[in-house]
Amino acid sequence: MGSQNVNQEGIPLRGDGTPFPEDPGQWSDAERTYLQTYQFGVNKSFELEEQEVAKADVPDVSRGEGGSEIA
Amino acid sequence: MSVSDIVNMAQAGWKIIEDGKPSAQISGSTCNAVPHVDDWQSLSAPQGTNRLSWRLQYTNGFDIDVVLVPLELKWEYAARYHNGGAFISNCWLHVPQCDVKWGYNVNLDFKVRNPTNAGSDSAPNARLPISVSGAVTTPFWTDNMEWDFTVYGDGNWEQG
Repeated sequence: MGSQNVNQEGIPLRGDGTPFPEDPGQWSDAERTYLQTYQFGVNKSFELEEQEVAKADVPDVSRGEGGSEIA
Repeated sequence: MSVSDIVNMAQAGWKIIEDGKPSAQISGSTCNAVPHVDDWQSLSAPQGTNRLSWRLQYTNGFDIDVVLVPLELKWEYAARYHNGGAFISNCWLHVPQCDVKWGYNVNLDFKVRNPTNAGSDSAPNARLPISVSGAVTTPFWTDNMEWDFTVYGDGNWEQG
């Protein structure tokens, strides 16, 4: 399917070139099948893409420098 | 109260995407994992900011990305208290783009669970579990989703 089936905003177009209405009640059975197949049939991607991760040591907290004590 | 008890002194959750648009709550919302002491704000500056990024991407039969939402989880690691420990002074989610096309709706939330200490009493290492969850909906189907991460004060992280 090419991009002629949707307008510049990504709204699918009917055979007469007008955008589909948002209300599913205004879609014919054939249009529902068409939309279900092309507009709402999807490939999904969720994978982690990138990481920028640095690591640090964990030193002991100094005692006697403040009012809070180590448990 | 003790430096080895680790708490979140910021927010426990917020909305990320509401009805397909970035939530107004994103910009100022943050969580943390800091020592449970009166002067926790005296933490040192963190050593840096770590980042994990992934994307929620749905491509339809017209080869159009009908949902495209990159997500970036960031946390400031290795903030010190009295020169020690490794705490998370800020953790937040950045959404650089949110593109949701006709017929689709997206809602995502950020939730924080209670932080704990993954280190020792004398050298505490903050552990902060977070989750990003929500749903993509259309007139035909709903996809529920959740990503769970645990980030650590020493910069480490785990998924799941």
